Amino acid sequence: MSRRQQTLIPADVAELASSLAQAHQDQSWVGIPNLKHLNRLLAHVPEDMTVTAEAGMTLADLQAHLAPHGQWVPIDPPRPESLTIGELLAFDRSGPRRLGYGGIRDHVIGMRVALADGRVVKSGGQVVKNVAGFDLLKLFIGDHGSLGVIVEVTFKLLPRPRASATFDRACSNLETVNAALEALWHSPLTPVATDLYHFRPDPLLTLRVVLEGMPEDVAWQDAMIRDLGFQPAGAEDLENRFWQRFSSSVVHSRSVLPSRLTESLADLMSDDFLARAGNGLILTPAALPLISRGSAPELSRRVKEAFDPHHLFPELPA
Amino acid sequence: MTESHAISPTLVAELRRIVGTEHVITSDAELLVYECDAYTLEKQLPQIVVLPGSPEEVAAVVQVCARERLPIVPRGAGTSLSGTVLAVTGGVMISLTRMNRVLSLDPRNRRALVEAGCVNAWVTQAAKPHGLLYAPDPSSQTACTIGGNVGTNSGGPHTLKYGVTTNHVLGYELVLPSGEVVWLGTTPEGGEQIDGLDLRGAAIGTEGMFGIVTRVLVRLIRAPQAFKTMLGIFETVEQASQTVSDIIKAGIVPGAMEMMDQLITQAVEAAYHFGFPLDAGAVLIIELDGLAAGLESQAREVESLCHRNGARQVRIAQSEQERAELWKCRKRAFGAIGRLSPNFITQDGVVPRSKLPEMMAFIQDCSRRHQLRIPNVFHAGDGNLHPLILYDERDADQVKRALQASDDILTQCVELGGSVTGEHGIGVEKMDFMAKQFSPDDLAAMQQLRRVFDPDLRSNPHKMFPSSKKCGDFSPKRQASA
Repeated sequence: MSRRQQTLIPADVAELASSLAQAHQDQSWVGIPNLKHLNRLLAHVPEDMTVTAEAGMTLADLQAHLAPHGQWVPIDPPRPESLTIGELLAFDRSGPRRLGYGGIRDHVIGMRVALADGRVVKSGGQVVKNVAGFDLLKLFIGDHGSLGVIVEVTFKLLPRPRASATFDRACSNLETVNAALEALWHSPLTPVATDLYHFRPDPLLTLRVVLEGMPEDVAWQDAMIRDLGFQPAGAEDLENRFWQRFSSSVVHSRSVLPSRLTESLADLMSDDFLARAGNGLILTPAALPLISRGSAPELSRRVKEAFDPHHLFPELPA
Repeated sequence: MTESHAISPTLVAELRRIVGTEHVITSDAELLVYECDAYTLEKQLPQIVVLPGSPEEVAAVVQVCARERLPIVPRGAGTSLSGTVLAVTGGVMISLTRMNRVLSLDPRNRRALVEAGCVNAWVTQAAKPHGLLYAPDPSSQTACTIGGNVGTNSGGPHTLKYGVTTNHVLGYELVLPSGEVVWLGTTPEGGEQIDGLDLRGAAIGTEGMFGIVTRVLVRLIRAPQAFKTMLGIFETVEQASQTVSDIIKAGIVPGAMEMMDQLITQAVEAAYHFGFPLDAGAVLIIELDGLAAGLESQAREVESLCHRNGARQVRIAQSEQERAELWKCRKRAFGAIGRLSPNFITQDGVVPRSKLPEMMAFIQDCSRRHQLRIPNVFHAGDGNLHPLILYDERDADQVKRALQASDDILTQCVELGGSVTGEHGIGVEKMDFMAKQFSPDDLAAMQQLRRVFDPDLRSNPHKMFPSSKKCGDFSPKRQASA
């Protein structure tokens, strides 16, 4: 198999399709194409709360288009100004609000994908409820580009919350964190984010909670969360602070049951970490003992062989 | 695709040894129960029905069927409205109804592990004491099973805010048609994030074609602190539809928004005596849920939007009982149709919400053209309609016109950028529509994935896809490695 020297940078979908068809025939490596020219907003229907965008558009640009209508794609990963829609899906990126709004899988209702042999296929559609055919688009979300090239995505949107408030609680150790998390969990509070930050060498941990929704809901929760020892958050963007230090490629993740979070953090107290506490997701540059999380590896391998027999695209994730 | 083979007495004996003699059904009289699901237009007896009691028994049965190259047809409660459980060429029907337990419930991590045959409503029942619930609530939830829900990616009235089955299933155990057992997605003790392909998601909604689900790890959500369930009474469907649009535009996301037109409301009122008006063009059930603090102002806003669109009256349920009554009427609406007509075709099209008034006008026109009554109940919030085409099966011409009306409506849904099915699935009923909604390449890609799970196409065959002659293979010459 020959290895392509340059990344494909197609001008449009048709060019991508024919390049792939050619590469498939030549059995030559493609890798991950650069879709910077496929960056248009194709359709936004505010009253349907749906939007269709090309995969080369950045998430920030998309959100900016939607904001004047009071809508958004409910996802808040780091560096949206340099994250394309295609990357967002292929690498299943998320941020603090994953707790309250779900991951990107929960927001995609339609997709067009270019397959290894150049065919461009559609899955899902333009409507929020649809069970015609298979939910094939799920295959490409989180595939790291190994099965195809996402070219177009349709999202279902939400209205931007009318009110939002962020609270912090400084914790001196993991026991305090655990107690605070338990108290939160058992309270009637409905946070949309619950994140724990630790920046070495500071032994202190910061537990940050975001409340969003109708103004009355946020006000009511505001009083309650203060009773649990939280204060309105300082101005510092802790997310930004964490991601400034590390690029995504050196950050490892470990996913555990939320009830086991603090015990899983015990051996990380001399490292930087960010934990999405409500989801049990730990992000850290520290090398973590590998926990096998791959789903049905043999079946996945067969899917790879079926969709990319000549291995034009990168390897399967994990 | 394989056609069914004769099932020998030796094979029957082998199946009896696996599941127990009393759990193998071979007599025609008993097989009759399994001749169809809730789509009664087509019927076919399976050759044999097996009722395993454990995932191990399911795997053993499937292995035997694989060896004998028999088609297998998984069945939960058989509530499918599209013939998903029809034993098209006979074969071995594998019923999951004995495997109906909630195996474990983890309130702290908000998940539960259930057997595939567990009834949907039982999950919420088990979660309720912990202030939790299982969100996807199809109207058939007191009968349908979680395994069946996984097969069709079931929805229900609360999908507008809460999503469908795929948003609430973390992982599950699947017996592949080869008899091999795999776990897809999050495991019971594992973290929610799975690196690797989302085969869990890709296999949900594949209508039994990827094998047999045996155990499911579901996500539980906290029960809303409070509800405000409202009933808007309108003169016309257009007014009610506009109200739905206005509510969405105002940035309010109700837990549910359900509409019933006049014909349906009359039938429901005659059956359940809730107090629905008989002369209103449309009634709209709007349920807000969440923290109590914010509900009052949202309810006022919704009420004002109803009135702005000409609502005759807006009622608010004053008690949990009244709320439950209202939902009972909605969820049992199909059951009230018997008062109107001996037969009806249930349809399940979806259109973008903004196209609802246009679609309703089309349905009314359809009703006039084909001279058939077509009452409508629908999930207005997500554009999912259930037109009910009334006919009398004793009149051959009515049957023909009903099927034609059904066709017309579904074609129009696709024309308007929607889908031929929002929740009932394709099954056998809507196979021909797949080619209207998807290109040959789209269908080929689906079949490509299907063959990875089921190379012989023996698992629930002859469903969903039009004749396989129309679907090209991806790389027909490539040998699958062992």
